[in-house]
Amino acid sequence: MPVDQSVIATDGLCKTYGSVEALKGVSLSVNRGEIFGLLGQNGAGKSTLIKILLGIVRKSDGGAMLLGETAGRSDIRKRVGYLPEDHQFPQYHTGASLLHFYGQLYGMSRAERNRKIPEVLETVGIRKRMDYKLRTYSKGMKQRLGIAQAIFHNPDVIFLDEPTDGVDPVGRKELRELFEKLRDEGKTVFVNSHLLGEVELMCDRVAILQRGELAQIGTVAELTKQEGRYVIGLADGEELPLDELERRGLKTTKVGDRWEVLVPGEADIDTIVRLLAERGLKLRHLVAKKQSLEDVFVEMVDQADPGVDNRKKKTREVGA
Amino acid sequence: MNKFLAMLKDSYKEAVDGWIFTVMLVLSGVVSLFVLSISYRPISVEQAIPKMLPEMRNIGNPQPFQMVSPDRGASPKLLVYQYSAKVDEVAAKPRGGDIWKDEVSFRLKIESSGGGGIEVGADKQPKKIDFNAFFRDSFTEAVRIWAVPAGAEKPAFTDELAIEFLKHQLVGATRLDVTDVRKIGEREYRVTANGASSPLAWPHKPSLFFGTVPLSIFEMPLGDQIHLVENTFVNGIGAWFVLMAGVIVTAGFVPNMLRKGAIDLLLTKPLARSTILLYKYIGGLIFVFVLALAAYGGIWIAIGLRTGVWAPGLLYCVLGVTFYFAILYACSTLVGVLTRNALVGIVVTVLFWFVVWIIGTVHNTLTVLDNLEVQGAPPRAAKKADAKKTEKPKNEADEDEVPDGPPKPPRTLVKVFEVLNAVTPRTKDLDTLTSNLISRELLSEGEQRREGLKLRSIDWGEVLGVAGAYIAVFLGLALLRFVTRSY
Repeated sequence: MPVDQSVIATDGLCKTYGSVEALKGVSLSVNRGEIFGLLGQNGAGKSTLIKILLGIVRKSDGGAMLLGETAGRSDIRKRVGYLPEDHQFPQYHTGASLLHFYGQLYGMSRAERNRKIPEVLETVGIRKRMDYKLRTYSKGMKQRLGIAQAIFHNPDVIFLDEPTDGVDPVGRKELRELFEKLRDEGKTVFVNSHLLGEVELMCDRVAILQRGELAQIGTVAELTKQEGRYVIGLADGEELPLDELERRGLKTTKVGDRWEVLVPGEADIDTIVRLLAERGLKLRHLVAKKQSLEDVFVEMVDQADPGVDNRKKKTREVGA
Repeated sequence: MNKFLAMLKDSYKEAVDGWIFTVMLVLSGVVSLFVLSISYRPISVEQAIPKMLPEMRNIGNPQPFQMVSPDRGASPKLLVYQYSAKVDEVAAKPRGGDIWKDEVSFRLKIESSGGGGIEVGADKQPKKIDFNAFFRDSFTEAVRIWAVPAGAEKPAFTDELAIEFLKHQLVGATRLDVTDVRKIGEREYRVTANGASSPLAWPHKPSLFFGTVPLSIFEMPLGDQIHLVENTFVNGIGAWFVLMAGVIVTAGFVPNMLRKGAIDLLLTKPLARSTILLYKYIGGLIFVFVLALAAYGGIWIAIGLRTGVWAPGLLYCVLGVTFYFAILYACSTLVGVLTRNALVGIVVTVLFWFVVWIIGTVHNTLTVLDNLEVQGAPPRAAKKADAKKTEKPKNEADEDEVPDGPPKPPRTLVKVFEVLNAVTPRTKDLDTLTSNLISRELLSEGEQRREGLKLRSIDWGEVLGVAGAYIAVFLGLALLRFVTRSY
């Protein structure tokens, strides 16, 4: 991907905190008009990467560009929106007064603020609470306000760290639709999330950071692609002819009362279906297995060295 | 400018969100109402004149009438003489209008007894001092010292000189418009005056709660009473409350701003980091300015409404208090940036405040002791005791002998505190500045001297320069840390 088309670009980006290497030469680029997801364990370096791009943290080495300029410049920040994780808004503000305050810092006129603040609060679903003190807001409402403050000044790039944290399922869907709308308007949305299902649903491309290094990057389809893996279920009491399948070079794994079969590239699942019919077995379940982003992520984490906050290994069962 | 106003407004919201600001405002309102309830009534001429020349003989609280500067008052040197003035035969000739404008005459009898002596303890330090011991007549000595130009010989005592001296002392101490002083007997004079030069000089009787609770004990010149309220209660105790409230409330400004999740939001706004911190600092100053303005302004209005005295000195003190706070808040800001902890900020700032206050207080005390000469008190009593055999008996002391003051503080100690005072913010001098602002319109020249305001000259450029340098260094270090740190 050509760097000159990207709105975010890092090149060999490094950051060290004393003896700890938070980022080890990360190079990636994000294009205009895409929703980009950044995944990684706790301590993998995701927040550090975003903070370097925003100028909150100083890089140790390498390059970081934002909107074609060196990352961290204060004038560029006018075109950037940011929702940090665990954000803490001043409790003495109301939703509206907070946006007025930030709007003034962004150089917005009073008329513009008066017009846009109710609009954006309506968009995120908290307009009715705009004149209430923030200390009366629920976590989900604060999260919605956080998204509002990140987008209400019409930025070109929006960084969202755990954007749907604390938001109910209906609200998440609404926010996903909002991010997609922003993307369609040509905005770039950079999402940092642990909710892999959310990321899978809304991100165009995803990068996975592992211990400060870029482990994978690509579209969701590219990362979750898994050819030749099927799940087969038979009628009660019937068993899959494992010997026959093994003789044909097919690898099988029993998962619960079903079987996961890995079909080599040239083999055809129809061969297996025919075999089952010849044996008089009753096929009750057959699906091509698609790997989820969570599978990819957990598998990668399991294989790799543990991160700073290592996840426990867990036994997974493959379901239909 | 828009961004600056936004930051100020945000700081204001943060300040008023806490209960301390509300309590301080309510307290200011209550005190203002209390002051508004005080009535002042001028007392009669017969009662007023003696109160203008009280017979205090306590060396710790000398009266303006007993305080003498050589060279006819032009010398900065200040001497205290323990003669007293008794007032009687007071007569008034009303001139219509205000009582303090009435023509008055009264008999002034000067009493200046001698005798007594010095008792020296086993440690050879003075144990008991009788200040009249070294003069047969301290009034005579005062007149001669007052008349002597710098470096010249003391003139002989004459009645004409004594009359000139009394006129000068009376005007300086009482602000009576003295028209004539005549000798009518041995140390007895008839004084005539066209009333006082200002109602501030005239003793008034105050009453609390719109006249329902009279306070006869405070019957003194109106200027003294207003000065007591403004300087002692408002600019003393009140300023302390304002500064302490300011330190406590604003100590959280920077640490709150630097909290994880809060600073990220601010740093991603199109503002330079240095601007963010400076705006936050100025926001704190404005908070204290507003608080002080509310407290001082309310009382100033109350006093003005009840007395008709609208001396602006108290309002100028709002700036003085704000500047004082600027020093403390610069310290608090630095600690806040370094530790991100409001409590540590409060503790360190109060400690810093206390240290500079102690240095200033000790320095001022030592300076006063080093410069003040109290005639009649032997400075080196031990030396005199040692040399007792060679000296004349005390009651035969030479009239021209001018003894030094009381024991001087060690020179090394004085020097150490001079250096410490020179290199630290001179908050005591700022106190003096604000006291001066209040006193110069309310008190007579002599009363101001009694307040100790002119015992030593203060280089205001130096005082403000050193304090400004501290503010610059504290803020500079805070900015350096804030601008270069990763959050």
